[in-house]
Amino acid sequence: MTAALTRLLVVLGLIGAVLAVPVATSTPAAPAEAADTRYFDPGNIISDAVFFDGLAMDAGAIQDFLNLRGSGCTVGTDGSPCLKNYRMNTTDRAGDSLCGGYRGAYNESAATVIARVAATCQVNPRVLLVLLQKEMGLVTATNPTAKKYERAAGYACPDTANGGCDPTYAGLQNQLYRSAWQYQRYAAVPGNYQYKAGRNNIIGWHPNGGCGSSTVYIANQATAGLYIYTPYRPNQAALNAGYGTGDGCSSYGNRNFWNYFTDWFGSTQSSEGAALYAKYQSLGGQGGSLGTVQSPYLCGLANGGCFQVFQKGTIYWTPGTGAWSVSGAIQEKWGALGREWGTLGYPLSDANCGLAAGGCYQLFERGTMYWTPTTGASAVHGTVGSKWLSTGAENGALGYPVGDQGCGLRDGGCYQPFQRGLVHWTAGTGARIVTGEMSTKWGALGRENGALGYPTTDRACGLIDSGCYQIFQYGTVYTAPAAGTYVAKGGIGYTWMSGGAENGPLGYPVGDEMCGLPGGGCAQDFQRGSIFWSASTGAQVVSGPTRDKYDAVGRERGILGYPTMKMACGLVRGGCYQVFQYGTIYQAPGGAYIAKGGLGHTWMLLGAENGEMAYPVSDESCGLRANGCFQLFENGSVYYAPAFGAFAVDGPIRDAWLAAGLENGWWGYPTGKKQTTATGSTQRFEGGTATWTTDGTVTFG
Amino acid sequence: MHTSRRTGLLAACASVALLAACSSSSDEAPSGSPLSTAAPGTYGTPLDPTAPDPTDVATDPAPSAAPTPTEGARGDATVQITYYGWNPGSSVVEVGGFLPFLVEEGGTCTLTLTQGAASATATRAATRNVTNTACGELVVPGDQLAPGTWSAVLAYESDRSTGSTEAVEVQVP
Repeated sequence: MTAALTRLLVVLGLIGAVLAVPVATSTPAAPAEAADTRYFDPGNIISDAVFFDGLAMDAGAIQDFLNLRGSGCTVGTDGSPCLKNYRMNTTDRAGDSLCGGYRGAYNESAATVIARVAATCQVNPRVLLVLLQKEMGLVTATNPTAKKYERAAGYACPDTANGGCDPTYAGLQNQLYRSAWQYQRYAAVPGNYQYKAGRNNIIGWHPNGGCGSSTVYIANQATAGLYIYTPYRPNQAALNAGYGTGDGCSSYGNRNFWNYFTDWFGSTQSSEGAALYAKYQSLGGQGGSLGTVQSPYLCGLANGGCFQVFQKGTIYWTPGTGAWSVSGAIQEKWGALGREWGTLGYPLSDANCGLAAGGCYQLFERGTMYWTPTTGASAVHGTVGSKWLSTGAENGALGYPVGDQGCGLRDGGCYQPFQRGLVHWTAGTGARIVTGEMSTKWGALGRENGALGYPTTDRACGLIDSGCYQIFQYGTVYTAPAAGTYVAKGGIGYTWMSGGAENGPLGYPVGDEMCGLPGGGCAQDFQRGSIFWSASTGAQVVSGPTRDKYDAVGRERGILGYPTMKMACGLVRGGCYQVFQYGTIYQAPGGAYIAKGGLGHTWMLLGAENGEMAYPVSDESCGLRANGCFQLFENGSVYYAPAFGAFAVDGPIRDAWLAAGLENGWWGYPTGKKQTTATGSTQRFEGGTATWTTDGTVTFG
Repeated sequence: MHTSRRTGLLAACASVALLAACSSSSDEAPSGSPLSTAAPGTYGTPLDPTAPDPTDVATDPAPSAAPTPTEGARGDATVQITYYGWNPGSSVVEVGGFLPFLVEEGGTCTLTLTQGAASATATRAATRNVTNTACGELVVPGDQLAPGTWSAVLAYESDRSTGSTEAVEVQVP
């Protein structure tokens, strides 16, 4: 027998077998309504996203489905259980690049096997259910048979020696696993197979070559896979017939696949699924950054959003924002901020890394998330975020955020901490940066609730001696390397600024204003002077040797009280003076000394610095006998005792008095003013009268 | 209408040289199932989840197994081209094909392009598929091909089977 004849006989035998076995039942039950096959697209029978949605149903949902579709089934005539009741001991299958393997288990339900195969091979369990139905009718069968289970998914079985199906191919688990694996194989090595997604393909209508073929642009891998598995396109007669019989050139496998899927599970297309699937694939699928799929497509989020969970992240999609992944610390923080309902809204990008210090960022609808290994993840958004961006973002003065934006501060203020400073915002003051020494000082003073209130400018530098300043609601902070960082504010600050601020005679502040001084006063020290304020005296500058003197006598707490005027100069020999509440400091070439009380009064009556005594060369010194005091001047001394009053002593009489032991000698205190006589002068003392004659002698008696 | 349809179907069944779906029941009652006129709804949400299932479903016959060739002789295998043409992106001639009625391992597919006396070939090991044997995609780089019309033939050869396609024309720019 020739080979050709042999082949013909074999073919005729097969035809006979086909004709002998009715492939459609005709029980005249109420006919089901088939899907509208006008929507059957031969180039896109099912989308990749739907086909490979491996977790679309769990075992429970599958069991419910089998119970519904198999409600008419009790048991097969050969004793085979209905699919809804079917249980089997499954076997181990090693994983590979296409399926994740299968750990065999005792007495697993069909629903569990379907769910597990779908999950491990990432083929939609709905596809597997349709496969079981279109091949052997197992889902709706009312008379299941062992034969149907043996070739449940229609996966061809190599015959064994005795004509049966090879046991490694036979049975529900093997048939499903091999089929699902095969579809993944088609996707993994499309070049090995005859139909290819993304191009025109020539597809026959029917195994009979005489029926011809048509050209189909196959839009996706899932559809290519269906044609590789079942290489015929249903013709119009097949489509017109719903589930029924078309004509002699009709094929049904791919039509029935689409019909069952559509009737049971809705559209074979999913825009949201497609978006989620495409993003997942673009990130490398299960070998990529997200790892394996952990959920089906889940929808119902705000703005029509959907998401899918993966081992190492989640993809979110909305029609308006597209599909983007979130993962790791950024995802955690985004969750803490309320996910899509929260501050940031949906993602608008994936995480982009490679920033300074190993940082990453991710865009969201209403802000951006930044992450580094050391700072963690924080969101920046709104006016505060814009401000930060304007400083150069993570490469600018502030560095990365180290916390999220916080609001609810005084006056509705918000703030955010960054590595090297803060941004504070209120509607009234705008968003301002506080960094470095400014931040330290402002923090020490209680930030926005403290003496300064909110910043109203950023820091500005370029002042003398490398100084900087920043204006706050209630004061200005100045900083310079040589002076430190201190606040100028209130009346003292105004006085300082009126005097030229850091460019004026006082230089930079070297301390903050100290208040709570006697009489409700305040004071502040500067590089070259101090300013003292009280309600009654106003703010007055004290500087130079006068301030040294004032310091030496205890400042406002000392004998002088507060200054009541600023220093006045233009006195004789370049002298200056400054009046305080209880005395005056004279600053002359000989030094700065105080004139006050009875001694000072006496000196002033003598003409003060213009009189014969000239400038003081000491302060008042007390503790003398009989509670006496004295003060030295350039040309004499003034002594005072309560019992006698204050009198100046000078010239030869003072020299003689000194020689006689001063107030402790037998002369005692002066008790009267020097009197000029025709021959000299006289002055009365406790013990007598001293007389000086122009011949140079001083007598006492 | 009905008569002519039945006549056509019977004619197809009678004259069919290969496998055909000739459903006896639907031939008698060509009603099938009424067609819906609704769009398929959305994925995961069928229009009517509780709609009864069809009871009258036409299906394809089970795929054939490979014929057993006579000892020492090789069977004739049908080879079909499933796509062909110039790919401007990669500047190659691509031809895809398969053997729809053969399931076996170990065969080789050969693409031969000829233009006058010139020819170029590409070979690829065939892949056993579930119900057929795939040649997959055979590629001849454009730098081996002068511009113009080339004739492409896809052939298959194994220890047991041999066959080739009719020639198709490929334009090389």
